[in-house]
Amino acid sequence: MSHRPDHDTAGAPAPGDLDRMRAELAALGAPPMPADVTTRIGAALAVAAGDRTPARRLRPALFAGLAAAVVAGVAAVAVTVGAPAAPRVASEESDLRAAGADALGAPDAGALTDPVRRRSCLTAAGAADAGAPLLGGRPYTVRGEPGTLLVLGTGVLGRFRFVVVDAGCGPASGRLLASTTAGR
Amino acid sequence: MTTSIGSDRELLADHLAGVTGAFDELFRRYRDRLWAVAFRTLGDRADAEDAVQEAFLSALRTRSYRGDAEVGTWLHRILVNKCMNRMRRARRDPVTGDGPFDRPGRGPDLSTAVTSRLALDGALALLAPEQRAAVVLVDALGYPVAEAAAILEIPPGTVKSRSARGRARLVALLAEAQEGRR
Repeated sequence: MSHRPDHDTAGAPAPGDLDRMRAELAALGAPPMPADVTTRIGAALAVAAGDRTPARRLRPALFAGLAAAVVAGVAAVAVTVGAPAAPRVASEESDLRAAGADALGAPDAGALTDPVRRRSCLTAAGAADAGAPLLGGRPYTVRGEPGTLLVLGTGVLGRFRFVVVDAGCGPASGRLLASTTAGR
Repeated sequence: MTTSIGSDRELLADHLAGVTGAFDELFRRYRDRLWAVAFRTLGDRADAEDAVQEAFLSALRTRSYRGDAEVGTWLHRILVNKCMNRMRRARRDPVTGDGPFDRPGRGPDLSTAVTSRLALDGALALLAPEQRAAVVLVDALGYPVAEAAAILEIPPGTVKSRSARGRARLVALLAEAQEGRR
């Protein structure tokens, strides 16, 4: 559309221009929250919620109602291989939870980005959730031993599994260096 | 047996009582609406994400809810205040501010925008924060004037006047941009 005022009165746009402006503004629309943003904010809320003292569990019916959104959010996250980040040092579980939230969406899981290698690694390490979707990863050091921090989906909104496996974790062997769950 | 999911007030009451998961449902219900408000108001994805996250975290950590506004209105108020603060900071410090159109090299240039939509996004960013908030809520996202007034905590008449002045300013800005390309 033309935005040239269709009249000569300075300082007061014509009604036609204002009507067209209304239409253009309305046409901008309301974009939904992108899936990656949903996942990151959900993780931040999960970590923050962990600082609160839970008193009761969610009503079962409500909990069930959340499942679809959870799965959609988890499935929407794609992790690709990128340049490795500097390893981090863990000392406390709270550090791991914070690092895990930070690693959500990070593309630095290295060889464990390969789902087949990751599954065999997690199976060898004795992790119960070997087939869980990968939501992020980066190098991470536990008590001086370098490893890889993996952020795994659990299928529950706001709940993530943070697992650290040894650097050589694969089909032949794998060791779980640390693990925790954030959220509920 | 069918158990209905709670109202917003019931969910917030559950959350304040420590019921795990109640806030997740509030997040699910309002994330898209708050995202749209933040994205249209701030005009930048990263800024919008920061503002929405801050707003939900503030709401999550609240220990009291006065109940004088609907939960949705209350959540919007928190978000809009975050957005307004960001816009004001950006205008005070246009070089280092976080506003997408206050940083050199970011945001569409009104004089060279190739599409009307880009130009409109850019023009929106040039409105005063108070006008921008009213225009985004009422004109871009279709909130009723009364609801926008409750969110912005101003009289409905003020929402209307800010929105009207904002639209007029947008028309003038875009006309200037078109003249500048000739």
